[in-house]
Amino acid sequence: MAAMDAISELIGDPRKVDEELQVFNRTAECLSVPSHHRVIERHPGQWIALHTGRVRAHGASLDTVLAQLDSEGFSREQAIVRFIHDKPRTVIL
Amino acid sequence: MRGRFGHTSKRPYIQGRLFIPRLEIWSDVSFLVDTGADKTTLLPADSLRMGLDYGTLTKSPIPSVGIGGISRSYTEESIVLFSEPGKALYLYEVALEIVRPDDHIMDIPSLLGRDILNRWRMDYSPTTDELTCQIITADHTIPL
Repeated sequence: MAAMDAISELIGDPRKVDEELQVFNRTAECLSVPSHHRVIERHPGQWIALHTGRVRAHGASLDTVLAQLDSEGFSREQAIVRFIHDKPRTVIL
Repeated sequence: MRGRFGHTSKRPYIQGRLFIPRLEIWSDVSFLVDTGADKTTLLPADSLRMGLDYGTLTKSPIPSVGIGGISRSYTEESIVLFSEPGKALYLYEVALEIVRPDDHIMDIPSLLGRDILNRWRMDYSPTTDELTCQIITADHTIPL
């Protein structure tokens, strides 16, 4: 098991982590709440990137979307990327 | 802790923060809760977003079996962190599976597997739109 000192150094300020994860949770909720999801559905057949509660980039490829995030200064670490299918795809993992 | 269900897919998700110390990278991840996955698994859309350089993965890729067949994955010692807002952070040390990019799996989200889920109690209720997770054990708990 990793030593607690090393863990603390790795994760940083716990309260800041908690606050940032709450922001990330709200961003993820955009993929669950119907009113937010309507915005996402404007991009069928595309990749989208969400950051701080909004769609910040969309495009035909993941590379394009990541480049848009980078160019507009949004941290990749706190973004969610998803491909929006025209029709729901059945996934059996 | 509360998870969520995807609006159209109705798949269950929960958010956490992933650290891969050896590679000095971290990211927040919206994990698909997958009780069928033996291990927590990083899929390519997230690994590429994180800027993971597959050339830095030194352990030989090993086969992993899924319903779609066999894929090749690497293993990295990692920490996955979850937050119970305002109360505590819960940390898990895991041997993270990292799947190599392939066209067929690019749209699959990263998976939260039983290496972590077996240490929780879950209330899974899509009909009431409630996914709640109670932490039973964690490798480290940091009170807030």
